[in-house]
Amino acid sequence: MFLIHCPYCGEHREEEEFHATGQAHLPRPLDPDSMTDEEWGHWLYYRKNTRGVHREMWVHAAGCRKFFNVARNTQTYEIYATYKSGETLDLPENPTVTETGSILNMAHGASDITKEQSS
Amino acid sequence: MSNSNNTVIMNLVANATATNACNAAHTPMEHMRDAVNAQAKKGAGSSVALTEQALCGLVVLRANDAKDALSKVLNKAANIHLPDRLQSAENGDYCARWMTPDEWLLSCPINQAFELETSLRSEVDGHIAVVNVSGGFSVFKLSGADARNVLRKSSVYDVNPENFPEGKVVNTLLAKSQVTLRALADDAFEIIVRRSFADYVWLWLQRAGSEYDIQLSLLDS
Repeated sequence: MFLIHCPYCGEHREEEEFHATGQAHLPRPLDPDSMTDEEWGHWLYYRKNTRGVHREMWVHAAGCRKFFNVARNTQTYEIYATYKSGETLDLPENPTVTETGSILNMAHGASDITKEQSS
Repeated sequence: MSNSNNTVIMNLVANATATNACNAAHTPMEHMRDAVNAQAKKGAGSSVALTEQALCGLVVLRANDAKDALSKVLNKAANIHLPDRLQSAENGDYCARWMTPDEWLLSCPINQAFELETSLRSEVDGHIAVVNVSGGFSVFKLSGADARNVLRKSSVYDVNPENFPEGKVVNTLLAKSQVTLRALADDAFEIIVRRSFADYVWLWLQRAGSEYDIQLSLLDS
């Protein structure tokens, strides 16, 4: 069981309702005509394969069908926070799981996060 | 096709729907009606009942900036406002459900759907979308003391009363199918599912409810 917080529905939902759709924060080039094929290819196909803290785009496919951003750790599967498309989020150097984050086997409700982390 | 032709055809469809809905249209559950009703239990031991709200009018409303204008016109037509996040607004046969920040699903009597659709489209000043999806979905009602238990083993959503009180609406998965789930009361729930998934979900609920002697009925449509 893994719960993910949807910033549009405003609550944690089962992972099964979501799909990951790849690296987040990839702005579309403002002037594609002036780019070389190589630059265009890099923008289109090249993605980071980060070990550790990573930003991804997820979609609440079976719920509200909105795309949103996820700041998570690819090693521990901790989600530090989720935030809406178009927003940015600064993470501290050693991020912790916040109200909109989640950890594996988290009980329903964000207030349980701190309880489970301390145990 | 010109606009006037379109209007003529749409009026014909509307009239046909209004006058013949009861004897010409069938629900996606029609092919199961006799089989379901033949095994319908009449016993007093049943603590769950499953029925279909056959041939319900359904209209998808979408709006961003024009949300308030749409809400105002809807209030004039059906005496309900567009509900907030995960909520529903109900008045008699009319009910609006929050689907996503810019989308609502409105149910109404089938013979009112066309009229409602056209009046919203013509009266709202602003950029909106109104789509009649009445034929696209089936509406089921699951009720009884053990209805929540049937949902607990069918859906990934936390349906405990403190998390899923009366009036709340969620889009979630039930038996791996995408559904719109609404709590009608403490022991009654509405399930809106794509018509192509209707008999699958029905059979799932039938099986899931068998331990509670589920009572089934499909009315003549």
